Amino acid sequence: MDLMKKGIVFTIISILVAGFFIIVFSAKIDVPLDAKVDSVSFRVSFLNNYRQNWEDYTAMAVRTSSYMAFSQLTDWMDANNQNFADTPTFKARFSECMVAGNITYLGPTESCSGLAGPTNYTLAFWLNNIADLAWSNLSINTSYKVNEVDMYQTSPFYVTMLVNMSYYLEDAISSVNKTMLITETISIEGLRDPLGTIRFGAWNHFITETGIKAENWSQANFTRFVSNSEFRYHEDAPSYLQRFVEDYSASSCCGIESVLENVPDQGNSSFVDHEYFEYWNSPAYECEEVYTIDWYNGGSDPGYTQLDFHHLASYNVDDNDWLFIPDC
Amino acid sequence: MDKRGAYFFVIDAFIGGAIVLISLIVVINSFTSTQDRTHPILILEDFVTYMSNTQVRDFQGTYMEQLIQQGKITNLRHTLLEQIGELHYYGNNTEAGLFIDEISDATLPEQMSFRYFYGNDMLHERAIYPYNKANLVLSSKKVSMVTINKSKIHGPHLAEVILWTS
Repeated sequence: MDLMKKGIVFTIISILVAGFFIIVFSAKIDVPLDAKVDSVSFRVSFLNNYRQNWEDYTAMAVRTSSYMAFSQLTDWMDANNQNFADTPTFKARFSECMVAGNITYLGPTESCSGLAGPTNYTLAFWLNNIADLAWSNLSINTSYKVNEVDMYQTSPFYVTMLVNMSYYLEDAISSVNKTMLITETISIEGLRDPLGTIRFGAWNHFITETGIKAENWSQANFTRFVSNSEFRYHEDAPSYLQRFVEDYSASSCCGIESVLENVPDQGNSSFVDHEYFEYWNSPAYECEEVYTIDWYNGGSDPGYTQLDFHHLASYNVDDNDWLFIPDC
Repeated sequence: MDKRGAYFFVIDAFIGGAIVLISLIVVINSFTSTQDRTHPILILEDFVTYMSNTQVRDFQGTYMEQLIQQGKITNLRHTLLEQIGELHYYGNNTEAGLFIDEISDATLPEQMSFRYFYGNDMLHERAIYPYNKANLVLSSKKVSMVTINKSKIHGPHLAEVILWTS
């Protein structure tokens, strides 16, 4: 009986210890202090993803709106029958056109093209689209400011755009404030050549880079080049940007030229486009320095052009059946 | 020799040990355990990130090759997300859905259900488990846009992937 009492004591002790453990440690759910960190970090990550989207989209919008601005400003030259006074004026108007779709620089407000029309191609249009989407669907507030727009060429058929922009993104938890420089290069192929617009009006001479290499000029290739109104790089020619201000100085890196056909003779003029327009109504050469080239364009209407001797050699045109030495 | 005392002590020790052990088991199992929610989130985010970072030329797929041959995919440097946007722009929603199906077969576990929305259009659905009975529904949104030509951008639209499990 004493032994049973001792056994019962140990049993009771173990039950008490077990009961202590159960009461102290069981069914206790601790909410850690950092329980909400996952959602916060997720939201910050989400805003960062949107920031990346914003920057990618802005780059895309810069390319698109720049291309359209070049097109619109060529239309403006056509509609107003004038070129831009100088490069700073052109760049200022380009900036307005690209960002907002209207020109106000040094004059009354007018549309980029000189004609009434939509502005659903401007940088502001595209950026406001994504800002509206972000606010209505993602609760992210977006604001931006275009500080400066600039451009330059290092390649004949490409223009590099530089856009300095500040933006501010904000949601309920975090925000991003940044100034960035966007550098985008656009191809000018498919754009209208601005050089002839103020002379001929409705000058639908679109820029297409020729596939003919410098060492492959021949009669056949020259015929194709002229018939297709293609352009080639030439170091003595002005660049695409120079054409907006009728600056005919040579651009060693980025000069482009085409050869016109069937245009009125300005008097001993070479039909190389920049020379033709530079010496508009005034002879650039002496009579004996300009050669007539006459051919049938693949059986269609006869083709006719004129080249100075330098360009004759440059295009490797020497076929006497073709070439008519001037009778001066 | 009266060994009954020893028997009592030994048996009592075993009984006591068993009580302690059972109580520890009860204590340990009484902590509330929740389903691991991080794993499906990671899968979903990885899928969306894969779509937005992987170019078409880096993806291998039989149906994709068909679309290339048909001329419906022309720019292999588009990301998968952009390419779906381009297909949507040209009204090729069926092709876009099949393309998404091919991509998801290679990247999403087959037991996971999902829907793919581009703007307001649902381009694809894989419903392994009924949506209205799902215990876990996750969503990931990505802004999507694609250049159509030199003067036009299609977008921005929201590309949303809704994933759910039992």
